[in-house]
Amino acid sequence: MSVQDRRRILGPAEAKPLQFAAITPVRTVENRDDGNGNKSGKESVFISTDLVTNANGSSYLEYMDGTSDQVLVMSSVFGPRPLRGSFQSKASVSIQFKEVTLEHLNTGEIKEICTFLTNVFNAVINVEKYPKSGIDIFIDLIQHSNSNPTEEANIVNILPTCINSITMALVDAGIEIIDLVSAGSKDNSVVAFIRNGHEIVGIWSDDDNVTDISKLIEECKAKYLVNKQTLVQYLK
Amino acid sequence: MHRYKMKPFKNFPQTVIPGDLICPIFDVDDDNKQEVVIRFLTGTGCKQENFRVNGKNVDIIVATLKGSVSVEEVPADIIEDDDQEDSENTTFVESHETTGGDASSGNSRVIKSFKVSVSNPSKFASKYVDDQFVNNLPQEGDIVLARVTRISLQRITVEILAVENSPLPIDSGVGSNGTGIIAAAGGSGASTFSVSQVSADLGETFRGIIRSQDVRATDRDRVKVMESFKPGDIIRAQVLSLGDGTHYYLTTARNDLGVVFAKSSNGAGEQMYAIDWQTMISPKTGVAEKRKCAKPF
Repeated sequence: MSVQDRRRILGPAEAKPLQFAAITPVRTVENRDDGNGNKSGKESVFISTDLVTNANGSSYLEYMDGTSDQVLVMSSVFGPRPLRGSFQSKASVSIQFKEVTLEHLNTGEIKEICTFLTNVFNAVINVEKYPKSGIDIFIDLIQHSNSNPTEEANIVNILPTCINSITMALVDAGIEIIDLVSAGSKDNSVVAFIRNGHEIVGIWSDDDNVTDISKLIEECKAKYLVNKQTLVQYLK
Repeated sequence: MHRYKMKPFKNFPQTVIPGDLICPIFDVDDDNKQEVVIRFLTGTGCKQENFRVNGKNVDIIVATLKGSVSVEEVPADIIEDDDQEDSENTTFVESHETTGGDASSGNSRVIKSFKVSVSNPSKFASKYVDDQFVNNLPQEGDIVLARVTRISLQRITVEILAVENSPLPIDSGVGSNGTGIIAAAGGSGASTFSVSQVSADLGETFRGIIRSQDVRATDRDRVKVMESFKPGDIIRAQVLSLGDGTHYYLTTARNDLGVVFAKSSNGAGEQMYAIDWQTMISPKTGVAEKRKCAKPF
């Protein structure tokens, strides 16, 4: 021990190893719609809001299918901010969709998603309340792992979660909306509803051969009601 | 806020989320055997929507925000004109309601109006503000605090910093700052918001115009803008109208409106204090400058 090791840079003689506090697991509020899902109760949703500190409102949703399907989405709401240009008596809603990790979708598809979501939320946000203002909604798709590699199926699987996420972010931001909007998907179609399924605010269909549209809507409505119940559970 | 103990309010939900039904727009109540027609008006956080129930169209007030419901009586004299034009509508709606079936007997009815509003106390309320936040947008008649950005002979251009009695939203209504997602046109400070820091250069605040005729109530044609405001002054003004695309139209033609804070020598000197409605002096140098001052008390 008396021989000093000159080849290495040693710490001071009385050095002690660092002691870290024991890691306590972070507890999060989870909201799972047990039993109501179609796939033998394995569908689950995790909801969290108010994560982005500099946004007016934000939400983070994890949707887990019973199978390998998993969608992680975060939305943030900014504004109402002043608009420049000519007088607008209503708010102009803009929605930007972005894949933040892997990029699967091309720009055309992303634009389509943005237009679809903008149309849905223009019908739901009380735009008359916000003259001369713009409301900016940013939606980030953090992860989407899917057993089905076709791209059409991709969009249809993520859209309901996107809609739910924006709805939660708007509620968190305190932007006036006439109802909680949510959606259900079936095959290659998504239908967004309000008022317990009495009103449709958006239909997205990548299916070329839909034979019975009313049957499709009924099936989407059933999933919408489950999704909406989950949102209500979280909010109440 | 006061909750009324009358019968129609018993069924009101305490807390609501967007889309929840709160009440119909009309209801009836027996107050000392006199029939009282209760009319509900929409305040902040709710909207009147038409629903079809059992083949009938019914107007219902629905919540548009998450929060607690409050009901406030609106004095009759404020909405008297409104009542007159709606009186036909009143009887029309009653005849369609089952509870209002015997209301058309013709004896004198009392119409009371209540404003229903939804507020979110947890997130936005502040102990310094007695009114609830719902949104921060200036509306007609609101008192705003603004900073003078530019003056000309005809008008004063200002940027609106805050609406009185409504706390700022997290991003102060002007976008965002720092790390994270930044709104399309950039943004300025949210948590770091302070009146002196909001930048005019970025052009992100709501802007307003005060015409020289609207600076004061008297002798309004002889207003000299240079002797009323200087760039950088913080003023208190009232919103006249939503104005055009870029500006709200404001006025300071009231005793309690005008310059609140100002620095001498075009902002180079120290803060001045008002000694009368048109003079401010700097306490150290004693230099007096002309301003249209707001009456502080």
